[in-house]
Amino acid sequence: MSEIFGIPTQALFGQLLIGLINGSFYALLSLGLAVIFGLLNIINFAHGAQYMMGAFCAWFLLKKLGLSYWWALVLGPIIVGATGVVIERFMLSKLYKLDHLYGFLLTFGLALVIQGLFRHEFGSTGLPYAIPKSLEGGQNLGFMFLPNYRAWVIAASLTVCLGTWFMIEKTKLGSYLRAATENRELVQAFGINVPRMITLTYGFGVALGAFAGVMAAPIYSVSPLMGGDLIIVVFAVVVIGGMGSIMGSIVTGFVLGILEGLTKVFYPEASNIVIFVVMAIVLMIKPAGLFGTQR
Amino acid sequence: MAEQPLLAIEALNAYYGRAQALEDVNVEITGGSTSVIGRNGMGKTTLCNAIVGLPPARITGSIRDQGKELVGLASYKVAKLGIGYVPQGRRLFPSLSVDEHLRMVASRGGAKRWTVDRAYELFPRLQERKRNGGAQLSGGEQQMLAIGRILRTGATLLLLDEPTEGLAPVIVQQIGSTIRKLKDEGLTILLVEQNLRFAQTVADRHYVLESGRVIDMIPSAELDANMQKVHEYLGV
Repeated sequence: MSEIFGIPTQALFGQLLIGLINGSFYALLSLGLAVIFGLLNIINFAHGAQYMMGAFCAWFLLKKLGLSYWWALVLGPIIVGATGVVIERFMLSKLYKLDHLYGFLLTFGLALVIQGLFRHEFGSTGLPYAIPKSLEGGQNLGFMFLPNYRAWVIAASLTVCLGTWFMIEKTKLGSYLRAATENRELVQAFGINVPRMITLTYGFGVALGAFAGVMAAPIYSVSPLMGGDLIIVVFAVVVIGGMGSIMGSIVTGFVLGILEGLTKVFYPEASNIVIFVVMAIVLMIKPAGLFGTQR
Repeated sequence: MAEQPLLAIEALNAYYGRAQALEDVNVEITGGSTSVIGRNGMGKTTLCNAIVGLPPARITGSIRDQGKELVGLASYKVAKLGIGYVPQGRRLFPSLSVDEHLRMVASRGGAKRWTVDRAYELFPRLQERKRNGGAQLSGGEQQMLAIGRILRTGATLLLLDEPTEGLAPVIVQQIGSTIRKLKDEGLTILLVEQNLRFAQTVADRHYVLESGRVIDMIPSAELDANMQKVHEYLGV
């Protein structure tokens, strides 16, 4: 039993694992986008750049301050999230009275500026970031070799995704968020400081992106363009899952990652476009996305 | 204590673009229960939104809550002063359960005075529907929840915008007795209605709003003597 459908199991599981890893990042990033879109109604085009900033944050903390990966995992999201808070407070918040397209344009412009600045400073070849000592090595599962760090990424992403889902769907804090997503003005009339909530929500969504960035640093090299490449696929994931749907973005992220991995095994030529083909089909059948509701 | 009004609306104007929706409105609320009656489109909801600081109208003039100016204040700050808004059409949140509605808006003071259990005591029907979503309730249940929700914020002045709209007569009576009960507990009520017969059973005095102006104020006791006039105002 070393072949399934004529494919060596090693290759099959190897690609499945890569799919799961990619899916972990898709899920985290599209979740951040969904949280932001739900409340702010803005498609945060700077998300890829913020993910990249998370990775650079990890690199900086290690190189300049000698702080380990584990510190970066905590500090990266906080630092990048704080820049998100500043962006919301001083830029995005001025645009809510205008068409949502302006918010989209602003974040798109910011993404270009941020990426440009980092490329100017670091070039685009990428900087190495080592896997933390405690997660080096791997497990031989018999049918495949599972690197510890990759197992950790999948577990951490799942935990953070489900934790976020729980917070939004099952806690009081989340009920504010859901209520404000449905009727922002009215929630404010109940004595809740909605502008502050919007600021923090944007910061949180950005922090999720940065968290993904820190986790990506040891897997992909730390480069100014790492987010720009990824974010296009993530937007497709968001559209397939349904704009603003929390569970939709998590499930779709993982499933599409796996689908992409499997495509690499069975029909490698299509692996780069399979997600976009799925997107086209979903949009034809269910324009609001698999988990979305028409607004 | 000197008769300082709890809520004093003075020379209030509201505009939507260039159209004026309220013109020189003066209303004084000194406690008990006050109604503002008027037909559809006379500016009732605009008045409510102006008090709680909600868009979209542009407001000039003054609304003072025990001396504190509300015009220009963010609506969450107005709410913190103890003004609770039950909007027209209830406006529940479809994705929140009954229980979540009651838990989310609680302020510290409000949660003490109106525990979730007490809200359920006031509206036993809601307890049975605790896990249901806001969109799965009947009109009457929605109204009960909208009132229960606002009590939990600790509001002392309730602003009720057409609470009887679209409800069966039996339910209207229930809502009426609930409002009277709240009044007896010392809450101040501002009721905005087009249903005069209902307003008569809960309010002590009635301001008549027509085309954005207050054209009369009639205490409940004098209402019967002025019925002819009032019917003319309301066009019934």
